[in-house]
Amino acid sequence: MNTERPIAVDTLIAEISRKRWQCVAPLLAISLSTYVASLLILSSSSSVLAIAIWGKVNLAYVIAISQFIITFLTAIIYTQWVNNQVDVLTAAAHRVLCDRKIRAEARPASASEVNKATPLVLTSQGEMS
Amino acid sequence: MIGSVQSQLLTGFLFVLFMSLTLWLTYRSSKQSHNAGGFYVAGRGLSAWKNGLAISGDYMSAASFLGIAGLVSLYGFDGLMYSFGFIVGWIFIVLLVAEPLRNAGRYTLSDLMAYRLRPRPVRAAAAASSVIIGMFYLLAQLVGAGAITSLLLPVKPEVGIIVVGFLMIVYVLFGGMLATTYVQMVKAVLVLATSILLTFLVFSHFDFSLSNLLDAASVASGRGDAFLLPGLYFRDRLDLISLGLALALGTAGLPHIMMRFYTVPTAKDARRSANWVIGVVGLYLLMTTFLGFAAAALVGHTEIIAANKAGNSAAPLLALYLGGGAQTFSGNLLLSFVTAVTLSTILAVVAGLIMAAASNISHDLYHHVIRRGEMDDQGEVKVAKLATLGIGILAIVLAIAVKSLNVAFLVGLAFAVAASANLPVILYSLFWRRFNTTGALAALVTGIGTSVGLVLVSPAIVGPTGIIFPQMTPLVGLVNPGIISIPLGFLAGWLGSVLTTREQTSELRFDELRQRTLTGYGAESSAVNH
Repeated sequence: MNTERPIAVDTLIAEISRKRWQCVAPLLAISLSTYVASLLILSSSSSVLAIAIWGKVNLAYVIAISQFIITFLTAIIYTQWVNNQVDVLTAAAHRVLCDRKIRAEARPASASEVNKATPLVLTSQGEMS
Repeated sequence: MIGSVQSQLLTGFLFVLFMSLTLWLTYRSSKQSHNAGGFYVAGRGLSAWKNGLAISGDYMSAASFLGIAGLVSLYGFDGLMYSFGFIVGWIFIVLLVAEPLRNAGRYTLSDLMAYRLRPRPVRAAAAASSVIIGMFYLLAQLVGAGAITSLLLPVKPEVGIIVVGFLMIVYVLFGGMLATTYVQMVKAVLVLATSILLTFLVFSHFDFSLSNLLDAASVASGRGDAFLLPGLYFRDRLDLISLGLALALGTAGLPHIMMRFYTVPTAKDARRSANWVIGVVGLYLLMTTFLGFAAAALVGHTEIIAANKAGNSAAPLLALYLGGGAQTFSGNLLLSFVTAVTLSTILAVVAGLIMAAASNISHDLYHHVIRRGEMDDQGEVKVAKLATLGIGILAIVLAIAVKSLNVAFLVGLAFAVAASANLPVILYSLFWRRFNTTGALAALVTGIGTSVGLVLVSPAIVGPTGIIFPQMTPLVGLVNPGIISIPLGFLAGWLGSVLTTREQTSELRFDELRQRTLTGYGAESSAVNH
């Protein structure tokens, strides 16, 4: 990456946000609406809930168990998406911001401004054994 | 009291063994928790799986192990509401909150809530809501401790509450966040292993058929097929929806869970931690429901009610049965093991809760509100330790007052306050530019006021089924206030913002927060001794 040429951080951030929502919005909509629908059905005292699916396992029980499955699937899909589509953009944006800080630090006039920022040392030294 | 001398001695031995292990870990970690970063967030150096296991430990509390199993054993299907409500809450956390929170905050959930806004009033109100949530949760754990000790030992529940209460204070005072994390991890493994063992024994009893288990439970309950359908616990349909909303929306507003996301080095680790939790806790919650149905089938309604009228003793009683009964060594051994694990669980969860509440008082109220941010780390840790003592003692006193309530029910109230007061402020802060300080204060005050107020006039507190004023008619029939208080909290946050003037600082800080949450730039870095 050419760090000499200014890179529009705002564009990167907007892209990160867009990519995240592309995945988060449908997942949130689907999981929330299924959950609310489940609550409404379960609270309806409908005779449908008693329909046997497998032996004594009825529809009400299947609805309850499906919430676990929906949660698992949501987490898997989201994580896959973010790992593949978003993390690379996040790393790029982070790098650009760090470069900008380094360049700013090289200019004494703006040093006091930069010192307000927390030092960015992402290390695994803190890993407890 | 069902414990024999044999089971009492065994429980004592196992409890001391588990505690020695965790105390040793606490001692080791106490050397690393001498500054605020070490005390509150374990130096932000924990790996994702360790943090995930610790959060899972927080979830494997008395509320789930004793409470859900108890409710399912007495009321059948309705008890399941808690288990799937607890897990659905993680959808919000993983999609919306975990990563931004890790990037935005420092020590407490209020760091995020106050990021864009005028910090002093917001921190004060946020600290109040967090302490109230922590207190409801604490009460649940201590009531569980009372139920289980009185089940096994010839002592009153009050004694169990006091002993566990003081032990937890010692833990937090000497170990801080790192110690509570290790305690949670050890105990998460113990509880998970115990649940797997009990589930295996249950299913081997029913030819590994879920249908057989449900059939036996419905027959033994005396309610027939109604036991496997909603309606026995939540008589009013609104109650079921209300609790469902509180559980799903409240998790992301729980301070003691959310502050654990600060203990990992990066946002990516926060995401991985959340995934660990979903996997481990999902499996565990499923198992607690099996244990509840098994207790109904094998132990029976009469015996469960006789031991504790809220059903809190169903899981240990099931262990006794599965081991071979009160007259056998194996029965007593399994009962003792489950009891010792549960007591360790309660101790660990309670330590984490006290930790979070103490942080709210020392970091948010004292450091930021009273001392206006001018205070060193050492001073803050001292205040945190004093707060630990104060909250611990208050929780012990209140727990004795509410000892007859179901522990899952009490935790449901904590979730309602979290969803009504904290969640609106978190979501508006992260995603709504126009949000301002008045909106935050309106949401917090309305959320706390309506949720706590509705609980105080509900059938659980007043009236014939409550703990005070048995002659009085409860003003509201709702068991959980979520369905009223959550929309009101969100509405108050919105109205408070749009009806008052725009806050320029908040809107400028919104862009800064957005950059920080999305890129991790400017986030607190990982270091044990920073």
